[in-house]
Formats: sequence, C-alpha cells, structure tokens
Amino acid sequence: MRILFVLLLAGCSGVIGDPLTRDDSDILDPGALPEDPAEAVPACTDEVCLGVSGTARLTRTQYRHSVRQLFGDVEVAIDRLPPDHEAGPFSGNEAVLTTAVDVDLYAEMARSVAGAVLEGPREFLPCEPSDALACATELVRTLTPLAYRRPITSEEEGAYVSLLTWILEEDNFDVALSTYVETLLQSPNFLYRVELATDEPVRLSAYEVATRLSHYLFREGPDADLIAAAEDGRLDTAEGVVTEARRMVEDPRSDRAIEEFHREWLGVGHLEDVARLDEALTNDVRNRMRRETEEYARAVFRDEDGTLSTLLTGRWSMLNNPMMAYYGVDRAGEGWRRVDMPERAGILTTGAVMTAHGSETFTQPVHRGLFVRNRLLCQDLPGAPPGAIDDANETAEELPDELSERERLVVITENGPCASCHSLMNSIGYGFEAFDPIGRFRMTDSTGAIVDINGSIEGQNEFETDANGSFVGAHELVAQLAGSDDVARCMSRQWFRFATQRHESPRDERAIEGVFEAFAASGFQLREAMVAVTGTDAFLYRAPRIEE
Amino acid sequence: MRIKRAWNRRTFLRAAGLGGCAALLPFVPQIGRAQDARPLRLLLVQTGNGTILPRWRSNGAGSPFVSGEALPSLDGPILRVLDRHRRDLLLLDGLDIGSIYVEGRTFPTINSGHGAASCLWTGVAGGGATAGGQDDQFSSGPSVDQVIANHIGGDTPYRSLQLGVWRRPLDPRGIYSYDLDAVPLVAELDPRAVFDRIFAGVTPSDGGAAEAARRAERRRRSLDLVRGELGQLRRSLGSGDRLRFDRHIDAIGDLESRIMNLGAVASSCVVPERPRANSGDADRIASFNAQMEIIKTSFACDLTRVASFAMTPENVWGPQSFIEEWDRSTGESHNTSHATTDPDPRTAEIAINNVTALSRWHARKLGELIDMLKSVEDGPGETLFDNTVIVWGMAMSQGGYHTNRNPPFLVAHGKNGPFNTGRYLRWGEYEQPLTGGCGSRDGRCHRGAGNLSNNHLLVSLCQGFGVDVDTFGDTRFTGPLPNLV
Repeated sequence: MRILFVLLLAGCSGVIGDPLTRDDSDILDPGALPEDPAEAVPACTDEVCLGVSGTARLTRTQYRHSVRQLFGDVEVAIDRLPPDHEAGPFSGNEAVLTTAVDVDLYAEMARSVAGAVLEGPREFLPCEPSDALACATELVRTLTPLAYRRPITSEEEGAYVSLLTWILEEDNFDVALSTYVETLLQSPNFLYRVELATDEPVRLSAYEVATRLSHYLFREGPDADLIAAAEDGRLDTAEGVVTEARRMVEDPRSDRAIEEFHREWLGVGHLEDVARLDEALTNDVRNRMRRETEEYARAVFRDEDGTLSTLLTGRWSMLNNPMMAYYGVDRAGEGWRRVDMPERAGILTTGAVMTAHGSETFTQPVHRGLFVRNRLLCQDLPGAPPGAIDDANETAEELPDELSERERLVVITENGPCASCHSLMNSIGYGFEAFDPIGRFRMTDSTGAIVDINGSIEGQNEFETDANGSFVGAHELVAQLAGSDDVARCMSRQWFRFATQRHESPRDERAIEGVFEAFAASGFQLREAMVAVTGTDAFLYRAPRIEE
Repeated sequence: MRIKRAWNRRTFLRAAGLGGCAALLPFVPQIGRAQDARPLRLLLVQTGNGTILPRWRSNGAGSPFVSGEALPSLDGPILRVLDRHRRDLLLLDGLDIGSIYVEGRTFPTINSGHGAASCLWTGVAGGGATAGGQDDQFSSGPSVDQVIANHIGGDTPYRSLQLGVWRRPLDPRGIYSYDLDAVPLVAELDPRAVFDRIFAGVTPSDGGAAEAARRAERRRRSLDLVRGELGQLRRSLGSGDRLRFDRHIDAIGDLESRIMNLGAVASSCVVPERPRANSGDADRIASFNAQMEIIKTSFACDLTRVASFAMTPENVWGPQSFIEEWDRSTGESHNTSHATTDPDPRTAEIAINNVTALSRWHARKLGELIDMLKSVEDGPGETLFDNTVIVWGMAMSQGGYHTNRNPPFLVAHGKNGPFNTGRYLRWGEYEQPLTGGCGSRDGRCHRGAGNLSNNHLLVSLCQGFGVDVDTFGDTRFTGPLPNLV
C-alpha cells in the first residue's frame, strides 16, 4: 500500500515565496475581515499596557482542584463539565459564554458533588451540627469566603443563611448541607474568576491577584497563606507578587501547573483520540506515555538543574517498568525513575510527543516540523491553499513504488508552489525521523529504507530565527533550539499565555519581552519565566473587553 | 475553542442584515395543521468526511433514479438498507454548499473542505472566529435547527439537543449548530451525561408528590440565590461581561422553570434505562444506539422538538473497526477518505469500499432510527415519525477530493411532514469520478453547471415549519427548493 503524506497538512502558502499561479484561486485577504471591536478600545496608558480580557470561567482542572480544596477528596468527573476553550495551546475560558447546556452541566455536577460530600468524612465542617442552624450559619461564614476567594458581604451571608434557615424549618442538616454545596458550586462567584472592572483598565484588588496566583500555580483558590499575604499588603506591588509566586513554585502543589503546562504546550493531552494502526499503542501505554512526559518536566524542575537546555536536550527519560518494556530498555528498579536513554533528545522526543505529532502509520515530518514552528518558535503558518491537497494527490499518482517515505514526501511537497512553505516544516521534522509513529526509536522507515535524519531549520523574513542552520538528527536539532533566544522568547510567551489564560495582544508585547529578559538573566531557569509572568501588567491589571 | 469575536446581542442582527438570515421576519402558522395536532419535530443528522457520490447515486441492479419520479426499489450500495422506508424519503442530488463558492472561482476562499461543516445548516461561509490553529471560521449566522427551534419550541423544557458520538477539537469543523446569536453549540458526546442532564430536569425522583414539590422549591430558592448573585455581579462588570452574564441569567431561568414544571412532562413520559457512559472505541455502537434512544424519548416526551445528531463530525479521525465490512488496511476514517484517491488502484478500491460501507452503516442507523420513531404512538393513530422531519446532510461529497460540490442530502418524514416524499430530485449536471483525476488541474470535481445550493433547502425547511423566510444565510440564494412540496 502506498502512503499519503499530505493529509491535513497546513501546507503550502500563497503568502511566502512564489504567489500561487492558478488563475482561478485568488485568495481573500484575511486582513479584510472586520477588526475585533474589543481591540479598538485603548488599553495603554503611560504606565500600564495590556491586552483586553473578559471575565474568565474556571477550567476543568481548576474546578476539580477547587472543589477538593473545599470539601476534601471527593470524586469530580471533569469530563462531565463544559469543555474547556483554548488560549493558544492552553485551556482557558476567558470571555466564554455559559450556555443553557453548560448551566445544566454545572447543576448536575453540583448535585453529584453534594451527594459525595454527604457520604464523605465531612472534615471541612467547622462544627458539630447538634444545633443545625448555628452550625449551618458557621459553615456559611467559614467556607463561602474560601469558595469566593475573598471575604463575603453581609448581604451574601444573609442570602445563604436565610435559604438554609428556610430548609431547616422542615428538613434536617444533611439536606441543608447538600443544598448549600449545590448552591455554592453554581454561584458565579465560584464559577468565574470575578475581577470587578467596569470599562477602564484597573489594578486588581489584592484578593483578585491572590486568586490569579493560586489559579495559575496551584489550579485552586487561594489558601490561608495567600489570603494573609493579600490582607498584609504583600500583594500590593509587583515585587511582592513575584516574591509570593517564587514561594509558591517551591510548593509541590505547583507540580499541577508544571504538568498541565507541558501536557498542553506539547499537545499530549488527548492521546486517547490518536488513531494508530499499531496495536502496541494500547490505552495503558497512552496513559503512561503522557505520564512520562509530565514526569520528565517535573524532574527537570524538581530534580535536575531546571534549565530550558535540560528540558530540551536530556538524554534520559522518566520511566516505569511497563514503559521500559515498551521502549525495549532494561534497568532494574521500581516506580517512575530516571533512566538513561542515549538516543533521546529531551522532552520533544518523549514517546507521547512523537506519537501526538505523527499520523496513523507514518511519522509525518510535516506535522512534527509544524509543531516545532508553532510551539517552540511561536510562529503560525498559513493553512494549505485551496486545491493544494488535490494537487499533491495528483503528483503522488505518478510516483514509483520504490521510493522511501522521505523521498515521496520530497517529491510531493517540496516542488513548485508548495516548496516555500514546506521547507519551513519538513526539514525540521526530518530531525525526528528516528522516532516511529508510536514513539519508539527506529532505524528504518515503513518501506524498509534506512531513515535519513539530515535536516535544517531554515526560513527568511518573519520565519528567520537564530536557531537556523542544518543538523544531523534530534540531538543536534534540539541543541540548536536550546541555544536559541527565539525559542526562549517563545517559552516566555507560552508561560504568559498559560498564566493569563488568554491570547496575548500587541499591547502585551512589552510584558512578554520583560519575562524573556528575566528568564535570560537567570541563565534560562524555567521557573524564572514561570514566576516573572506574575509581575507583568497583564497579571496585575485587567482591561475589560467592551462591547456595545 | 476561543471565540475571538466575543458574543453580543447584535451579532444576530448583523447576521440577519449581512448574512441575510431573515428569521426576524414575522412568523406564520404552519399551514394545514390542525390546532390540536401533535407538534412537528426536526432532526438533523450529519456525517463527516464525505461519501462516494457515484455509489450514493447508483441504484445497483434496480431501476435508475429519475429526477422528479417516484423512488424505485432501493438497491444501491449505500441506500439499499433504507429500501423499506423509501416512500418516506426524498433524495436531493445537486446541492452545493454554495455559500463558500465565489462567482468565477473554482475553489472556495474560506471554510472549504471540512471547514464547510459550519455552513451546512447555516448557509453562511464563516465570518466568525477561527480556532484550533485552522483557518476555518465559525459561522456568523444561526443554523436552521435553532431558527426553527425558536419558532416551534413553545414551552418545551429544552429548546434543542445537539448530540454526537466522536470527540474532536472544538473548531469550526466539529460544530454544526449555532444559536440565534451565532454562538457555536457544542455537541454532547456522552449519552449517560445527556441522560442525567435532561431527565434530571424533568422527572421527579423518589418520594411522594409533597416531597417532590419540596425538593423543587429548594432548588428554586437555591437558583434564586445564584441568580441574585449573577445580577449583582452584572452591575459591577463592564459592558462586555454584562452581555455574557445576561445569557447565564437567562439559562438559570430556563433551568428554574424546568424544575418548577417537573412532573407535567413526566407523567406522559416513559424514561428509558440509564445508558452506559460513552466508552469510546470500546463500544462505539452502544453510544450510537443510546443517543438515538435519547432522541426518540425526548421527542416522544416533548422534552424538545429539535435535535441534531453528528453521527460523525467533519475531519474525525477514528477507527471504524466496529463496522463488519471495514478493511483495516486503509486505517481510520479520515485517512481512508483520502485514500479513495490513492494512486495505487488496489488501495483506492479498498478505501472506496470502506467509505461506501461506512455510509451504508450510517444509512442503516438512520433506518433504525426511523423504525424507532415509527414504533412510538404520537397522538391518535399516528406515530412519532408521522410528526418528525429528518434531514441527513454532509458538507463534502467526497473526502478524497475535499470538494463541497454536490454533497447528497436525504430528507425523511411521515404523513404530517411538509414535503412530497418518495421521490428523487436532481439539479444540475455535476459528475464526479470514482477516484483519481479530480485535482485542480482538472476542475471536473469542482464545478457543476446548474447546481443549486443547500441554502434553498434551509429556506424550504424554514417554510415547512412555518418560519416565513425567503433566504437563509447567504442572500445570493433566494427561495425554497423547487418541486419539494
């Protein structure tokens, strides 16, 4: 059977290099689309500059961690919550709409958590419910501020107390408790990250900053330490906020952020949806692979030197015994542990990343190269022009059987109008050719040809980078990436997106450059990028979206 | 998915003005239906990655289809499994996804190929946000199911349902329905979660009537508190947020009124067994069946009058090994749809047979769904199918060519439906080779003289449900499809 290489490729472009010569395929100028009216609002003053944003709703993981922070180890089946939207590669629900279906899903989830709370140990209860109303009132006073991530007003307290009082006239404490939990979890003060701002850019309150910090680094609401910091005025300056963030990244709870960042940045969050012909890629393998990538990132931050270079170039991985068997490695030991793998070239060559950016049967250098452009260099390539895939299929028809995977790809995509854009992707992807579509090391491709791992990072104008140059294999490729300021800039940008949970706007460029400078000054310590974001205008202010 | 152009209440007005959806025109009552008749329902069914048009058109050893004539006994490789229903079917052949094509150009400019999913039921080519790293845009206008739902929904608990089976990224290729404000409506994929959501809102659990009323009152007061807080916050937030909070407040109101009307629906309603959760590839068929059961029940109980069911969305990548005839050598469904134009004739043949088998399987499921609707009584002497209009559509005619010319449509309804069924209708002269020879250097697959657009079908549907419009979506296309009634 022959190979189709041109599936889905976001391929050739009419923008770079030769314009398309087809007379009947002139392309609409995307710049002709109407401008986002929200962006027409000035959001820069002399002192402050940031992009606009709307109120954000909790993501699924923030919801889960927040519920468990409130009520202990209850089960939260987050795939039954409304799906997360995206901010770049990351999940983020800024300015999303809560539809009727979403409201139902939150209601059902609240009921299910309330049921679990009734059956659990109730360690969160501040009192014995011998006097049901007194204890319910005490509960409202202690737990509601934690859920709302700020002190509550007397009106808010009064509303809850009067609801629970009415319930306790006829029903028992459990019924009141369950209604309280249900109500709390449907409250907009819990579901949204509320930042009171009308139509002007405003400095967030200390509580709002505390919430941003804890949602960012711990994926839950602020704990007592952070609330105390807010109340002591320690979050009133950018320096104070950064100091708190620095403390927080040493807390093991920030592993949640480290793992989620890398899972989403590297696109390995939905491996279960990846279709592969090779049945060795079982569901267990998929889950363990994702864990491997997360463990690798965690180890770089916690056990290794914490640099961008180690993240991108380590010739080892984090494996357990089943994954060693999968990769054909044999070392004694127990649990997830560091294992030397000389063929590996950092986190990009972990099995999950190679699998997520392959295709069903082939390695897809196009996808892998596009992935590096997009996620490590922060470059967006235009999609394939209309008709390009048909063209490629026609070209493919004339090819003889003897060609290797790479030779076929070259003929199909590196000639004519396709070449200008594909040269940006394919030649990077070749660096990963020694990793098969399900993440294992290989020497030959599916046609039996020895893999050709010669490649290059090339590109001009907006696609030119300081990582440009030719390489042999993944080790040299990732060394070029690890030594690149453009990659480090992109990492700063990705942490900015992850922290703010929104797309950056041109008004955020100054802040992102500041993150990069701090990152560079630290010798590219990853946690410096992670921390520096919290001192930016974008993190400390909100410029609301304005609409008619 | 991130909706860059954030929602606001004017979006719909804009869509109505620019995109031309005329759903704001006065509504007229449905013609010819008695006052006490059971309501007419609408079910849209979508399948992705195209079909094999010549196979869909072929009637095998049976008499060939003749436009305007009664359907002969169905014997083609795809549609033969629907033969028992042929008197209730309308085969519509010759409709392009016209909104994406621009006069004088062979290739569409935006939302071509898979991206036309967002145009299938809206008749609008993009104009909304982009998402998922693709150039495709979400629709800037509402979809026909939502416009009709708004007209016929009455006081049913749910305005509409959007169901699916396959997970895929939230981008324009996976979203078919858009509400009146052009907000993309994401399909729900887990039948157990759908079941819990929609039946929890309308059926009382244990305890007597008094306990049920008490429980409903507790929930109402709880939601009142939530609504109060939403209102409070709304006043403290900027104008953009206020609009989004308005919507949340509306949705809380819907939920509240469902809870307070609890029981009114439940008494006439046979709730099926709670389905198993969507287990992905472990049992894909169970998820299909469970979603179909939910559609049947929610229609029968009048929980909703409008549903859409993405049997497969566009650009889904999924193993189809649950289909007996499937040959695994061409891989999962998306890869296979491309392999239909593979240079190797043997590979192309296997892929074409696979896509044919997949379309036939979808047709078979549709037939089962029709059987299910025919088995439920809906008013004296009538079945649910008598009062349901089903439309099966797809955005592409053939996945290997990525062309949005001439995707076939199939309408099915019983005796109270608006059209004259049991017929084949064809417009234009579009032909498509089985494989190969369809690239840009050979425009045959990308042009068809005399074809009409899906927009006309959307107008026909609106009119069939009493929504008095003359255009839907792109205003270049005026009037209903000829000869439907």
